[in-house]
Parts: sequence; C-alpha cells; structure tokens
Amino acid sequence: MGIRRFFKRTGWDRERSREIDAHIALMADDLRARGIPHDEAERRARARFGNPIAIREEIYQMNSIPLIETLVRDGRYALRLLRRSPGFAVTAILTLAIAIGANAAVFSLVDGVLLRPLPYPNPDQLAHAERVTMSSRGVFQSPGIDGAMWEAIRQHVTSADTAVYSDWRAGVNLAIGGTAMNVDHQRVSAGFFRVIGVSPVRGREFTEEEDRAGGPAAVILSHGLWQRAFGGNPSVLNSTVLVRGEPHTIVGIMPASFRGNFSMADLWTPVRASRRGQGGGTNFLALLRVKGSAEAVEAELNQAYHSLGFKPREGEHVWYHLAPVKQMVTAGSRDPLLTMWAAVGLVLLIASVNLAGLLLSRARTRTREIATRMALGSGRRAVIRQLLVESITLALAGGVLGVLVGQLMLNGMQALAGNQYSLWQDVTLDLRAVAATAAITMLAAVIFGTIPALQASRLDVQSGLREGESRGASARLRLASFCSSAPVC
Amino acid sequence: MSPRKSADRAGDMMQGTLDMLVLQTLVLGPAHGYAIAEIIQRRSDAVLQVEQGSLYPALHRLEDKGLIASFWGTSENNRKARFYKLTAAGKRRLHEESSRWQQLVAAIGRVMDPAPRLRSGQADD
Repeated sequence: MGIRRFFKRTGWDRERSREIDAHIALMADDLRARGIPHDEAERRARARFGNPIAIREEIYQMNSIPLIETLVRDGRYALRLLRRSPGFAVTAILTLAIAIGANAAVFSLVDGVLLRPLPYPNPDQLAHAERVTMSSRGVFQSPGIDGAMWEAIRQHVTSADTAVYSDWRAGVNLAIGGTAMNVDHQRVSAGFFRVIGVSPVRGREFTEEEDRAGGPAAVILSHGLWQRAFGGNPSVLNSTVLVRGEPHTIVGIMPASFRGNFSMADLWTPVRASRRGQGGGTNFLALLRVKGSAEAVEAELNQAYHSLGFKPREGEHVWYHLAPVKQMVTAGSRDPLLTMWAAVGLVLLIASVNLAGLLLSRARTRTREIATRMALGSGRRAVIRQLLVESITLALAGGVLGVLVGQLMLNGMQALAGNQYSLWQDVTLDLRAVAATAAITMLAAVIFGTIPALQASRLDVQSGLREGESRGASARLRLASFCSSAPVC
Repeated sequence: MSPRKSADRAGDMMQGTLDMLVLQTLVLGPAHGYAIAEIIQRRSDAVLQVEQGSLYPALHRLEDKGLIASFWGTSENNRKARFYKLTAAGKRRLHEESSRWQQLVAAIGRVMDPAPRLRSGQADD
C-alpha cells in the first residue's frame, strides 16, 4: 500500500484540495441558510476551517516515504547541477563509460576464452594425441594422425577413452523433402560425444557399426539446425535426409547447451577412419579423455606408434605426447588477451584517478555554494548526502553508458579477430564484469566525492563564504591541490 | 518509517477515538467530511468539536487501511462533495472498537464509582 500511495501522492493532494474546497463551500451554505450575507459566510467558513495547506501537507506526508523523497530531490538537484556544468559532466561520464566499457568487454573475453573456454565436463582431462618430430631442423608438432594410427591407438591405449574426428569442416548440401540447404559438416567417430561428455538430447550417438566402412549411413543434427530445418519437431528422429545426395538416417540431436570448440558444425556424420580406402588420410585428430595418469597414456600412445613399424629417418626422433585441449584452444589468444587486459586495467586506474581529480577540483569551486547552503541552515549530513548523491549520479550515468560502450567494443573486437579466434564468437558481454567494474568506479567516485564533502561540511561558514571570492588556498584542501597538480590527473 | 511515529503513539487514544467516532457516524449511511464533523458535533451536544485539521488526516488514514471507501457525489444542496462509506472491514472494526469502548467505559466507571460493589463472574481483562 505504502509504495502505491507514494507514487500517487500528488494526485491525492489534488483530490484533497478539491475536497477541502467542497467542505468550505458546504459550510458557507450552512452559514448562509442561517442568514449570514453571502461574502461574509464565505469568509467565516474559511476562517473556521483553518489552514487548508497544513492539512494537505500533513496528508501528503502520510503518503510520503521521507528517505526516497529526499533522495529524489537530491538526485534532481544533482542532475540540474550537471546540466549547468556540461563540460565537467561530459568529461566525467565519458571517462567512466570508457573505463567501464573497456574493462567489461575485455574481461568478458578473458573470462569466456581463458577462464571458461571449454563448456564440457572436466575439460582438463581432454587432450589430443600429438606427434613430435625432432631433427636438426628443429622440433615440429603435428596433431594430425592417419587411419592406421587410429586403429593402433584403439588397440593399445586403454588408460583413456578415445575418439577421432576430422579436423576438416566443410559446407555440405543437405536436402530435406524438396528443399536444400548448405550446412557446416564435420565427421566424428563413434564415442566422440561420449569422450567430450555431452550426449545427444534426443536419440543417440553413432554406433561402432555406423562408424565402419559400408555401415548404415547416419547423421546427428545440432540443436540449431534441428530448430531451423525442422522447427524442433521431435518426430524427425529416424527419418531420412539427403546428405550430399545420399540418404542418411537422423539418429540423434545435440542439446542447445552443446557449445564451444567442438560444436562448430550443424551436422555430424561418422568419420569411418581406417587403414584403407575412403577412411584413410591423415587429417584426423585423436581426442582422448585421460582416465589415469597422463604418463601411462603417453606410454601407450608410443606403444601404438611403434606397433606400426615406421622407421624414422636418419637423425630424426619421433614420439607422441598429449596436448591438453585447453592449451591448444587458447594458445592463439592468450597473450593478446592478457596484454589487452593489463592495458584496460591501466585505463581503469587512470580513469579513476582522473575522476578523483575532477571531483576534487570541482569541490574546491563549490566551497562557496556549500557555505551558503550551510549558512541557510542546511545540516552537515544533508550536505554530505547531497554530494554523495551527485557522485553516485555521475557513476550511474557512466555505468549505463559503459554497458553500451562495452557492447560496442566487444562487437568490434569480435569483428576484428573473430575469424582468428573461433571461441571469441561465442562470448557475450558479461554483466558480472560490468557490475564489478561499475562497482570499482562507483567506489572511487564515492570516496573522492566524500572527501570534499567531509572537508566542506567542516567549513566554518564565514571563511567559506569569503574563500569563494578570494583565492586563499586553504590548508584543508591540500589533498585537492596535490591531486589536481599531479601530472597524471 | 515515519519520524513522527512516537508522536503518533502518544496521540493514539485520541486518534483511535476519533476514528471510532467517524466509523460510527458512517453507520447511518455515506456522508461527506463536513457532514461527518457536523453529525459528531450535533450528537455530542457540541461537546466534541472535530477540527478539520484532524478530521481529514483521520479520513485518509481510515481509507488507507481500507476501513472506509470514498466516492464523489452530490450533496443535499447540490454541491460536488467527496462521500465516505463504511466497508465490510470498517463495519467489523467498528464492532470491535465499540465493544472495547463499552468495556473501557464500564471499567473506568467502576473505578470512579464512589461505592464499589464486589461482583462475581465478571473478570476484567
């Protein structure tokens, strides 16, 4: 009830005013009926009623919530002041917005790419098998394996859950009924989704039989494609679509939550890696979920490699090791991101110091105003609250604008580097980052808004009034003069 | 929430009494503020003068609590006026208040009675 009354209080007051007029008119009517002349009746009725403003004020107060009332008033005053000094307001708000926006955008990227790059269960266990070749020409690492190596891995590696997939993603023609579309296609082995740790939300993943040359043709859809092409109709499971003109049965649909580096395709088919024929070639990646120790898995990998009987060339050493997926995925963007993060951290620091300088130097010019207010009976707390509300108004405006700036910056960075670092595409502006940065700058604004408030409210009014006219630098404001003369400000 | 809370509490009795009188006045039917004041004054043989300064806040308070409801109507001499009427909650409250009032009057009466009698089976609360 209270809150609703609060917002309706002005309308209520109008009602009361009409009601009081009616009361006086009725009273005057009564007096006239008793034979009192027209105007005299009116006058007496008013006199007897008393002060209508006082009654209205009392009722208005009953509807009011004093704290909100004063804060709203302070906020309005702050806005008016900011409008009166647009240069200061624009500088302060832009400083805040850029600092908050840049930090939020870069932190969103750091968080999305470096801190949470793989949205799969226990991503630390995931690794690729990588071949290292060392010779006089240097050390070469290659994650690509061929069908023969895959068969060897399946035979020898028992300390890890293994799968293989084609690194090669391509557009492929998908025909459903009469319509055709071009979709991103990737080939994965049976067990691939099990190794990643994300199962199809409907249906199942590929069986060993489907993953064998000449096995039944099967296809798994991404959630996005399922929505786009079939409107999310669950009955498409086990129906047939044409992939590259050949009929395939839809055996599974991945969940919408399947995101990240291994979910860039719209459509998966079995990879059918083998020694011979179509399944041959070298552009496969072996994905392993390490269950025991990494050393044991690496030993088994090398066993598998030696079982193939390849002889390395003269002066060349070849072995296999595990390359954690996390490292591989983030390798490219780690350094630029961290550099950028440090840079925007500095921007934030500089912005805070600048803001502090702005607020302090502004407080100096306002000594006279504050002294006037106190001379007119404004309390110390009221002055401090007023200055705080001003700082917070600034910080809020900067924060709101900062979200916009952050979104723009993030879009810009994705446009610039999104092709290079595929993970960046998935990142959205992290509102927690916005909130955290906004909190830091708000804290700076509040602290540096309060110092002058405390100083000012200790003012003795007389000297304060005089100080506004003369330039007498007061010892009390030493901090202000220090900061506004420091080069960084 | 209001800084005048303690002052309100001190005036509770008078305020509560005025509220009760207003509710009682409205038992007869809807009335506007002026009529309410007049009725209280007349029925108390001019002993109780209701000041507008407390009447309108009281009406506002009662309406805020949902004990009375208001509407704009036309007075007997054809003027627009805001009328108040009892709500169901108001009727219930009036019933409680008046029985409490009767008890209070009886209790005060017994205390003030110059020749107290022992009564049985009627405990005071």
